[in-house]
Amino acid sequence: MKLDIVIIGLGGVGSILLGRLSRFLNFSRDIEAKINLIDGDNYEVKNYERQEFGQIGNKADIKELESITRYTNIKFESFPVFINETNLNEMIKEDSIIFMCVDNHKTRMLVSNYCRNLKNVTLISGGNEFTDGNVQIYIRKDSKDLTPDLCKYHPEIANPDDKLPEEMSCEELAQSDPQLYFTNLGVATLMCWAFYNTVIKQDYERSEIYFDILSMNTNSKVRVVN
Amino acid sequence: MAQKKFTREELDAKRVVDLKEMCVYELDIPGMTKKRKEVVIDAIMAKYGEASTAKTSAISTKAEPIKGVEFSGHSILSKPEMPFGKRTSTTIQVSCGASSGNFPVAGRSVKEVGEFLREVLNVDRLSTGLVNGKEVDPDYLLKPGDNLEFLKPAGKKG
Repeated sequence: MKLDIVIIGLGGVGSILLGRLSRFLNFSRDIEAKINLIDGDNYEVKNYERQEFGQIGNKADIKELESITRYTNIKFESFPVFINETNLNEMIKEDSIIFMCVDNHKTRMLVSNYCRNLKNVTLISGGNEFTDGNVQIYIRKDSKDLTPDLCKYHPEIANPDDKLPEEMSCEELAQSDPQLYFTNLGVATLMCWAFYNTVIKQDYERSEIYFDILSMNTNSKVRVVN
Repeated sequence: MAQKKFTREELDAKRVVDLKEMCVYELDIPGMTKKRKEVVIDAIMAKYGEASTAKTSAISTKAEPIKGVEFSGHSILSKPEMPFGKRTSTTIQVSCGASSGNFPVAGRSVKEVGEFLREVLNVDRLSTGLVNGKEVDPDYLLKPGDNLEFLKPAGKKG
């Protein structure tokens, strides 16, 4: 099985996900994987409590360097940019498996809408608040939606009230709500579950999973596409 | 050998768990255990619907003494003052995000249930209700076997 994987966002969720996913793929005999790493942001000391990096610098570049020596059976390529309307078609191709680990709904909306015009794509998108979060699974095969796109049941994504990272000022970028490492870990884990169920097991029934650390619950949802 | 036939209304009034058991144990319709209610009903209607002429040997009208009954379902003691046998109510699974529970809300509207369970399930005032995965009118009356979800906004950070 040949997998073209794209990870958009390598912050609290993406940096954890990359390690877990790479370990699985690197030692799976039947899988030949390439992972494109996309993030225009830099790793800084303030990120150290939640994000897994060994040095300061662009997150995509650092993760490529760290990963190529650790997971030699996978091809890695870094793209130190933020996703926007003009570079979407260069970053996301047909048959891609996309893991979206971003921190704004506008990027989620852009990528989901772009995927609606592709024939075959798997989009797994995660997000969290302080102690809870969710993962959405958008599967499109032969130009037909098998699960709802990210916007269908989420008006907050369809009509985002936030901005793309490159539209934000330095002050806006510097301000960020506190996040819990365990919540990022929960999202990354559920994204791995979603990958295993959809890509490896080809089960497309569930399209969203929620979790809540305080109540210690997870709950997956089956939703109608049209 | 007589043939059992169903109407859609008759099937719709049953709980999804009962329909699935019918498929497995009585109607010989495989692959329904993880399907949604409407899919199960469509499968039964295709084989045993009123308009269907397909013959079956799975259902017999020959009267035989009942030797045993196995039943599983959700019910709660909601009417303790009623006579024995009438004290429980069939419940509906209601969820919002990661929270869920079974509540005796059959016959209630989605809007009423949202108000009633606002604090229990942390339902937002503007949250949309989905029944069996599909958006419904807030005045939709819940039926036994329905699954109600109140949409919770997606997490933003990552």
